[in-house]
Amino acid sequence: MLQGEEIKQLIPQREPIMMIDTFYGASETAGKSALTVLAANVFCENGQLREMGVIEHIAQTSAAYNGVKNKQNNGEDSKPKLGYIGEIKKCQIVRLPRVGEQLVTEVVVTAQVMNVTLMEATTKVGDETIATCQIKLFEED
Amino acid sequence: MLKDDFFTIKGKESSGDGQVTYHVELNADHAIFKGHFPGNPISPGVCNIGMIKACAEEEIGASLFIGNMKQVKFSHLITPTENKELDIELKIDATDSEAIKLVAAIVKDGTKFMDIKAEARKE
Repeated sequence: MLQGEEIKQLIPQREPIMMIDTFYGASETAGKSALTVLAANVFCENGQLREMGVIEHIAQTSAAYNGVKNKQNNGEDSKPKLGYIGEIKKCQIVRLPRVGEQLVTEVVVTAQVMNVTLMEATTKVGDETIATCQIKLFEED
Repeated sequence: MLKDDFFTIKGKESSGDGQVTYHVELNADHAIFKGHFPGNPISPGVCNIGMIKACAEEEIGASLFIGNMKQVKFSHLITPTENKELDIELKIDATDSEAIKLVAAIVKDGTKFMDIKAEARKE
């Protein structure tokens, strides 16, 4: 498990737009991360993490999975590659998370071709599913 | 949240077919560009969604919750240096206030940077 500053080994994003604070690890085809919503979060408004924050949290969970794979393939010292969201589909946000709540997101890889990864994401607060989506991530070489 | 901070609205035009175009300008000095990415500022895809949402809120005159994004496609990266000025094209069908249909794109001079099909409701 990686937390706080250690997350920077896996993803290229930096403050104020780091939207994961814990990475639980990755299997061959899945990754899991968490974010505790702070009032100071750049995507927080009136005590809620807005849609953009939820989606960025999902995107960075995917990026962290890619970061783990990158280290496995290219060595422990490999820096995280820049990556971008290519497409989002079927994104349902049931409700916005509130300050103090912890989002836990699991991404499962459904396809990977060259530098494009397609994933399905589920975000929960406790047992409650608050968001699901399909996300396509592009990674630079 | 992003309006008047990450970006500003410079003007708007309506065309006869129900489309409204907002002219916006990015704030290259915003802190988000420091983290996305250090030394290589690129507008995060979610901020592009956020700019569209803010313009739709401006147009409707109410805060929106976008609970259903059917499809969002990002075709070109937006940087605050190369793409400071952008046009946000909106088509909004608010007949059903619980499922406001939003079709929008960010474009400039014939380049489409992203487009979105979504359903929102007023907060």
